[in-house]
Amino acid sequence: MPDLHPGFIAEFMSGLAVNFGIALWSLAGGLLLGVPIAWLRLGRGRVARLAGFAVAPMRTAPTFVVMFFLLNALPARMSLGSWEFSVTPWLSVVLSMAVYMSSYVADNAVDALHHIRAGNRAAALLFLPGLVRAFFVAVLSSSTGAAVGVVEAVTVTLREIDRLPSMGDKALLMLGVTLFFVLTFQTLYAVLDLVRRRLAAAPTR
Amino acid sequence: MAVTRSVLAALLIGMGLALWVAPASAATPAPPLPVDCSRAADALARVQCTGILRVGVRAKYPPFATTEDGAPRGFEIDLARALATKIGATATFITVTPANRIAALGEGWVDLTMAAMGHTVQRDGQARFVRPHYYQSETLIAGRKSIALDGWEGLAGKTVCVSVGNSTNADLAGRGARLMLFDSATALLEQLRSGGCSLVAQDNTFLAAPLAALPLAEVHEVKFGFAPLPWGAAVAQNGGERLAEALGMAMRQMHASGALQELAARHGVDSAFLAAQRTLWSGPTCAADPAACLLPPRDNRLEATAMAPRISAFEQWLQEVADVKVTLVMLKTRVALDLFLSGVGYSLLLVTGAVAATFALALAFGIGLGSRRRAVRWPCRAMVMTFQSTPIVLLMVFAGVLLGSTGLQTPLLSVAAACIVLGLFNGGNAGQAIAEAALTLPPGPDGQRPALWATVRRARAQIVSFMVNATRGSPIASMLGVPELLAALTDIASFSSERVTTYTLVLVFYMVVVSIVVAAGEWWIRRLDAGGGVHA
Repeated sequence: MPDLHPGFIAEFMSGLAVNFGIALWSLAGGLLLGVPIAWLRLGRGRVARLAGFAVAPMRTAPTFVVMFFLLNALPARMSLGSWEFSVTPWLSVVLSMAVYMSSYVADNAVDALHHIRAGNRAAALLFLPGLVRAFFVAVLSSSTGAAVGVVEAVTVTLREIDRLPSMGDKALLMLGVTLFFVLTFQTLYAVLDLVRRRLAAAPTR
Repeated sequence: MAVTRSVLAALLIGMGLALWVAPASAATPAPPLPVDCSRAADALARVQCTGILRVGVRAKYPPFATTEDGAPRGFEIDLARALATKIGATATFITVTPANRIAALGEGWVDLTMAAMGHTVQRDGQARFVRPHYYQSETLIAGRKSIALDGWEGLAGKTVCVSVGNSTNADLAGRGARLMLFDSATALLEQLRSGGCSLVAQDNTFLAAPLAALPLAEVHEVKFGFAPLPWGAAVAQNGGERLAEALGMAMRQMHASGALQELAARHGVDSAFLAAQRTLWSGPTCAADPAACLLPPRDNRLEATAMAPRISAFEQWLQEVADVKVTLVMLKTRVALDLFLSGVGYSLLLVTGAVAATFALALAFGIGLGSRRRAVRWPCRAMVMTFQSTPIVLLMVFAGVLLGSTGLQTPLLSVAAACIVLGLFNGGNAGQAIAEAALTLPPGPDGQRPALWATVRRARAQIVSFMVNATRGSPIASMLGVPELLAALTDIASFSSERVTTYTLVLVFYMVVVSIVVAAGEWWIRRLDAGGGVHA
């Protein structure tokens, strides 16, 4: 058992809460932008084409690079109406992930809206577990924040790895943290699959 | 004996100074004063005529200069007062910032700048520095006590938080440190406190005090210092020659007598540099030949590229024609260009490797997950589950730690390790898609599993999707120490201060690369579709 510092587990769990928080905010941002784009894409003509065109760069932009871009290329102080804010490392992670989440929502919500129009409510509802899975993926992806100084679960782990003197202890810690992630997220995925199967088995109306 | 020598030297300097600052020096006669002496072209004549030395100082740089209850205080304030007295004037203080402290001299609203300013070769062309220097700072690397680091040797591959624009960032980048950029030195302290940064690099005059106090002192320490930077007071380039010489002589006297060191001690900024200067200037050698004892300015200029003038002209043209401000710093200096070109090369290698590894490992996982033998199938499934549930950043860092422990952490091996991580992460998912596709295909004539190529054709869209994902994720390899374009341009931004064009460029580069991989994937799918067949 590696000689972890006494506060490690508490700090790790607090860091994990930051990961979930980032994912939640980026999901909210993704829905805010993605649903209207999906709705516009449902139509025909120039507006639908423009909406489709807008999603393409969102799909190709690497989240990790977008995060650095937002943090470094935007002015340090910005305003949205009367609201003034700073582009902090945390906000840059949220926004970069919201960009990708928007493209995910825009792509998948189109299918769901098609199903709703066709009266296939159960099929449309499958959009929800997909969204929850995307949320879990976002929780894992939010660890990119470690590269810009956000104190989340991976940052706490890296700090502890730096602290441990022996390679054996480092390897044990890495193994332990990986195991924690695998058990936690596989359980969440299993629950999600159960919900998905129930939804898929629901009678179509 | 030593005391006698230093007293003698001080007397000699004092006599020299007295002769020099006399209203009419025999060596360099002062120009005649105009009727309004505050408008004299010669700065010394003007100061002595008005009796006022206007000194530009920082407002919030304790313990050097700060404003308390409206009154300036600090080491530089007291030193400026002492120097003013020695040339027969009274110091008045005007607040300057790092951005305008040299311009203030040129525009004539201060006579002297004493504002925590490093004396560099570059600044020598903009202002006239008073010699000798009154202080010397250095860049400190500080961090958590648990990190073993006592010199350059252990720095390669470690993440160091820096403030943008420090010229010493180029030294750190050159030694293989991974730089994390922040806007201000204050942000570095916040990051140290919060744990966002384990190591920071910053001027000792800024870092030393907070590091010596709680709570930082409890778990942080100074690792080592580098890049000594002499601090100089400066006067205007035009008309400041005699004032600089007079102040220089006064400074020499203060060094020799120990007055400067005592002043520094009173403000808590005494240092080995000041002790060495005191010994130096109180000795006979410097009294006889002062020029031989002056320290050179720090040369932090970066070698310009041959195309630098054309790049500057292009930037100006773009600004005039399209009102677009673009600063292509990565093409203007040799060190930046080398970093940029190697960054592009490593990025392309990384993306190619990541795509190839994803495809190869997708096939391997596809075979493994579809195997009838549990000894093959279960480990493959366990691996896929692991990669689906672990942050890729963590996997990258683990690979970096493992590579580092072998002592083989070269850029090429880091690229190879990153490609394997990206390949396992994405290839695992693509392999699962191949295995699932096999279940949807009819078995062969003897009940055999469908041919691998048929399952690949069935799962082609997912395979391409994960190859694109590997491309999008490839910049994360910078966390493993791969000097790809994002890492290279971050290094360049750290010492050039330019970030808008730099980060826009890296974003556009990666978007183009991802688009190329998407197009290549679509082309491959079209070719498979054109081949037709029952499994298409």
